[in-house]
Amino acid sequence: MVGVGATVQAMLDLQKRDSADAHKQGCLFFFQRSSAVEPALTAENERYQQSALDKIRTTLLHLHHECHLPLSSIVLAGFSQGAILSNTYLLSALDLYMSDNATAAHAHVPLPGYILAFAGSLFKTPPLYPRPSTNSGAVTSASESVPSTTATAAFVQPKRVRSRLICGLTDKYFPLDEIKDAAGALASRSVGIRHLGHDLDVVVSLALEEGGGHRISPRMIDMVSESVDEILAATRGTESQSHEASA
Amino acid sequence: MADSTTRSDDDPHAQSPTKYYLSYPSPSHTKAAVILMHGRGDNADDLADVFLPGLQRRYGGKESRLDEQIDRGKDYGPVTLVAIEARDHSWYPQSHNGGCGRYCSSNA
Repeated sequence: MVGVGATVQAMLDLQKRDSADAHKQGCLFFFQRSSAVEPALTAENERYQQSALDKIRTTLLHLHHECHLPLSSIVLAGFSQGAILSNTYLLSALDLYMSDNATAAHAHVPLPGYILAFAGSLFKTPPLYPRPSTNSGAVTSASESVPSTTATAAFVQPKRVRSRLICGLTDKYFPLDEIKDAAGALASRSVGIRHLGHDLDVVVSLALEEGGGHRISPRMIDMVSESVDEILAATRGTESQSHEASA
Repeated sequence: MADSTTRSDDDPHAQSPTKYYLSYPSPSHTKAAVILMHGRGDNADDLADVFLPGLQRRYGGKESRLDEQIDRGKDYGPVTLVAIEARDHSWYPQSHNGGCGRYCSSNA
């Protein structure tokens, strides 16, 4: 008598079926059920996501510490995966503020003045970030292509972060509802942290473009220049004020 | 050797390059920075190429990627363009909502 899963081909066929159905058939061999496979997939993705978020972090800290650039003068612009990670990076900081852990946010998640998310949303299961430390308390560092900065090196968080999402209405990878949900998640947290009295104003905006598909549009390119123009204008304003004060 | 392998497994993008355009960032002349983060299968140079012409026309700086030996320390303009790159050109292997969706729902 040949049971289900008795041959190699039967096992391979079985693997494709819903694990619940396989169980009903009284199979002797159980392949990884979907609930076991998915945590493995999630765990596999997570270390990459955390490493990518660390890459953002160390790049920001390098510009801030080594190049003396205020975080408010930095634009982070991501496309697709880069956009999801940029939004996730902001979300991880906002969640720390929301959990009344502003100290951790101020210590470990420096924010740029502008976060532009081009054709990207959020993870359904966001990675744990900052990731748990493996030593006495410092967040694990990342890139060596940028000079390392200690996790506890202080930085000056900007007072305001502009979070600007933009996506084409016909983007095949990011349905409209998903983009709206991402903007909504960021916006709701920005309201929440304001209510909690934190000294951080996050302004979230969403622009949807007719047509275009999954690509970088002229509007997205302009958005980068507009953000830089705002930074330079603010810098000139600050410099002229200090000149007047010293006159 | 084992330590560097372990570290690389924990931090896949730690050794991936960071590339600079327009002008190297410097305390003496940089007023603004743009960090670019590419999508799946892309790279820093190709993404920078999309933004570089417009930014160079507007703010000055070199039209091509900067050379560490030649350009470091030179003031080409107030804006630096920084493009970070993923190992194997992908920031994470799985889709952003692939297996996670069912994991989230079965978590309840």
